[in-house]
Amino acid sequence: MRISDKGRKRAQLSLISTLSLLLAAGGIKLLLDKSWFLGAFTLISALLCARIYTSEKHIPGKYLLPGVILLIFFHIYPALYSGQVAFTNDSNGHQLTKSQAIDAIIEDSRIPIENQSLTRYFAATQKSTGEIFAVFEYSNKGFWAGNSETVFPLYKSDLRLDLNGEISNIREFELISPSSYSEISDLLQAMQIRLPSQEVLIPSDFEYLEAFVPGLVYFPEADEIHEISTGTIYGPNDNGQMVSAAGEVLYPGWKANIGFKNFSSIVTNPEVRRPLLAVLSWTFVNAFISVVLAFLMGLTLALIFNFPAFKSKRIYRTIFITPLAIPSVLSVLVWAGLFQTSNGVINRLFHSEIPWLTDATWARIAILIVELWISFPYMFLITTGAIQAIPGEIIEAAEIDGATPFKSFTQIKLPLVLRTVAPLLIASGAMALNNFGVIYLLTGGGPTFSNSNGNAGATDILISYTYKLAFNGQEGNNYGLASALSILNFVLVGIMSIYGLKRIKTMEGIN
Amino acid sequence: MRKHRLGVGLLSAALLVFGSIAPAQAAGSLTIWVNSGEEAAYKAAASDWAEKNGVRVTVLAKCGLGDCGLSKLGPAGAGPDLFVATHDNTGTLVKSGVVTSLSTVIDRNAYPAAAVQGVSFNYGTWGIPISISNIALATNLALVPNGAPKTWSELESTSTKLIGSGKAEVGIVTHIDGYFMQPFFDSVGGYVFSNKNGKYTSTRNVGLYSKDLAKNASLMDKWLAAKLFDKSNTYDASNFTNGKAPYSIVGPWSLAGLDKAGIKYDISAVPSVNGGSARAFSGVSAMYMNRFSKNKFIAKQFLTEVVQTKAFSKAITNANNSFPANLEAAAAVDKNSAAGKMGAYGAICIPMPNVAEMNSVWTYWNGAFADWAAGKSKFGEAMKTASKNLNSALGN
Repeated sequence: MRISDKGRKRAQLSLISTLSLLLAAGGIKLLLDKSWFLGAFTLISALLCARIYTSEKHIPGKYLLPGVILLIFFHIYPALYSGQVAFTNDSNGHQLTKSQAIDAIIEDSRIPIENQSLTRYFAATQKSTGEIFAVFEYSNKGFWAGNSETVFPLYKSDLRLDLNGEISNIREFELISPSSYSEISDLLQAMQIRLPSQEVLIPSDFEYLEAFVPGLVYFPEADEIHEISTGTIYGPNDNGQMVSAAGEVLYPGWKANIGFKNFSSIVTNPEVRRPLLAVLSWTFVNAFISVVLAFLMGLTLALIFNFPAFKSKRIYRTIFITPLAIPSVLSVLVWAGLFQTSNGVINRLFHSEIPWLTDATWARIAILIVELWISFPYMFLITTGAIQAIPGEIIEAAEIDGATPFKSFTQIKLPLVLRTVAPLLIASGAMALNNFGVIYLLTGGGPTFSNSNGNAGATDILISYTYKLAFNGQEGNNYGLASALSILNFVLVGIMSIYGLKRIKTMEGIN
Repeated sequence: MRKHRLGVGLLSAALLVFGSIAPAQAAGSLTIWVNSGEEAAYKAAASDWAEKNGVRVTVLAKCGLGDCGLSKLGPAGAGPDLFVATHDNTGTLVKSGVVTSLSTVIDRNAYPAAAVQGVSFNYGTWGIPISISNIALATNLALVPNGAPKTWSELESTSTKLIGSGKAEVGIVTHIDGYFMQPFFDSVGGYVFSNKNGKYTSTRNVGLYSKDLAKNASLMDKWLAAKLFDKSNTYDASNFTNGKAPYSIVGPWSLAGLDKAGIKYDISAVPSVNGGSARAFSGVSAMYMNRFSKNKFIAKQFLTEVVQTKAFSKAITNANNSFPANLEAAAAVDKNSAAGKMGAYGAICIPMPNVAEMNSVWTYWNGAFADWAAGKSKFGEAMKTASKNLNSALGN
């Protein structure tokens, strides 16, 4: 007994230490990648894991810890992150930091000098400072030592050349052996030598420099970029771009905080607003109709199978619940095949040519049909349960009082069923507002509106439209706007749910 | 005290674990992202060079359409050293600041001028062309013994006769969108941006509803009504391979499927209604360098010594049925092969615009085609609306 206890303890301990070690290693990697929050959080989780699961105390903690860690990882952190992104212009063309963007603008404006003779360079360490320089002879302008920070001429008397005319010794410098260039390759690859005569020299490999003429120059103190040929001055605007007085923009831009602009653009920008109204109304219409239809169908089936005279109910009930057992991804894909216009089973069956997935109205009907297919078994189950929970005496009493079957349904059964299932209906409605899967898989939100640049389509609901804005590469991804919309979506679903639950409370007389 | 020991012990152990699982920062390594399904070809084409120079080349199938996600991944340091994309992404990539100029690396004389033009944007040249691909007309020789149509009227009358006799259901199997309909769009006088001999002059001048197009738009309506195009707009390749359609618009990616179906077919240019050939879009598949690559010297060496060679262009295009961009490799392609005929047509095609504004064009242009196919509007009206919306989106 004692031995097996000990063995279990050991197994526990090794399991806990492996888990904590992996978490801690992940945390360190994240910190090295400068992901401060996630890194710190992972490290803290590792420490907490090790602490709580090795101690005899903290019993509640043992149960709560995994849930809390996963909750923070997968819910709270993403929510905070997208909340933060919503206030930036995070989108294609605004992915760099400001200094990266300005470096890119300056680099991209350089024009290579045609037919230049190759400039051989040698890497050397300056003895007094320990800094690494490239030493070279530039066309007929003498010898130079330079790196990204500074450049200065060398006197011929400071140099000694070998028989091949290559530099073999420099006063004040120590040549680095070419075999160890790979150790300083990061430095060499980033080196940009700006000669006083304006040319920029950049190592193209471990032997040669390439010469460029700059097109634009950045002045950090003034935070301005000047175009050399025309004298045009570009300054930063509040959308993370360098812009001239005439409105010409230099690309790329950088990621900047833009306050509430994403939110206000939902209202003010016609490109966003135009599809949004259609999308919003379809979001609500779709959720409402799909839940009501599924409920009605479920209720009808439940009533039919509740007739005492009905034979072999169990088999039928089982059959009608099967759609619930099939993964909805599969059934949606099968439906997509059935709905095809020219070869689809449905059109063949009815000898019709209905453009199920390419016409706005038909696509909406198709979506509703598939949503009905997926969700009616659930409604069927819960209404069956609710009906069977109604005490038989009540119905009997009604019959004795002379109620017709219709009356006993509308006045007794239905209110009692509704009372039970109303919270579930509200929950289904809230879920249907975010019914991304069916729409993404069946129509992809299409057919697209011909007048929208957001790629929105007739069957897009708010969350699928948000997804398109964020990840549909063809339209230029706009993560900032998408985050703002997802916050809007959250607020809408939240309001709906709170309102619905309040209504139920009053209906049921619960306080 | 015990608590501290635990923490310190955990941290140091974690550092040890991390040290052993963290990938070593190899200096002699190169990561390349290519289209899925083509990684083996790239890997094979790079292997000799990799072995000779002691460089570890990793080829990953991470690219498809678009910019491979580089606009987001590049700045985050999660991108490859080199990646393959089609040239129409050049403007977007440059504007996102995620590619490095290859102006000093590319050997301009090794490629057709249009291909170099395609990968050039603003001041620089940003990609090394590998292959050129374009759509072309495929003719089912079992249905049309005379072979590929020489003129538009031949195509039209063959189609209507076969449809009339019930032999065929549709004339030309094609997607009804901007890319696939471009030859017919060109034929009736439409254009995306004004251009001269395939060189774009201005994004201010949108030709979705050009004067010529306005005049000829009813032709498109006539052809749609005559079932030359399938208005259900589902590219049903089986119609072509089962002999239910005499013609199909195909790309290099379709050839393997056609060969597999075992039908006899011919590849040709799409004839223009004005005589001669109508121009499809040609796309250049090119290799780009990530601005945030830590292995730029090796990457440049690879581009110069491997990617620009005839052998490399040949190896990749053999694998994906496209036409080599490298002129020497192109000259060696059998002119009577399907790829050769496609390439010959490609030489007179118009390069797809590579400006970032194309993103907006696709939306409105494809939308107009879809509305037209669905019978919501006549061709002229659809293009007029698209043109108006596009101009306002571009701020013209």
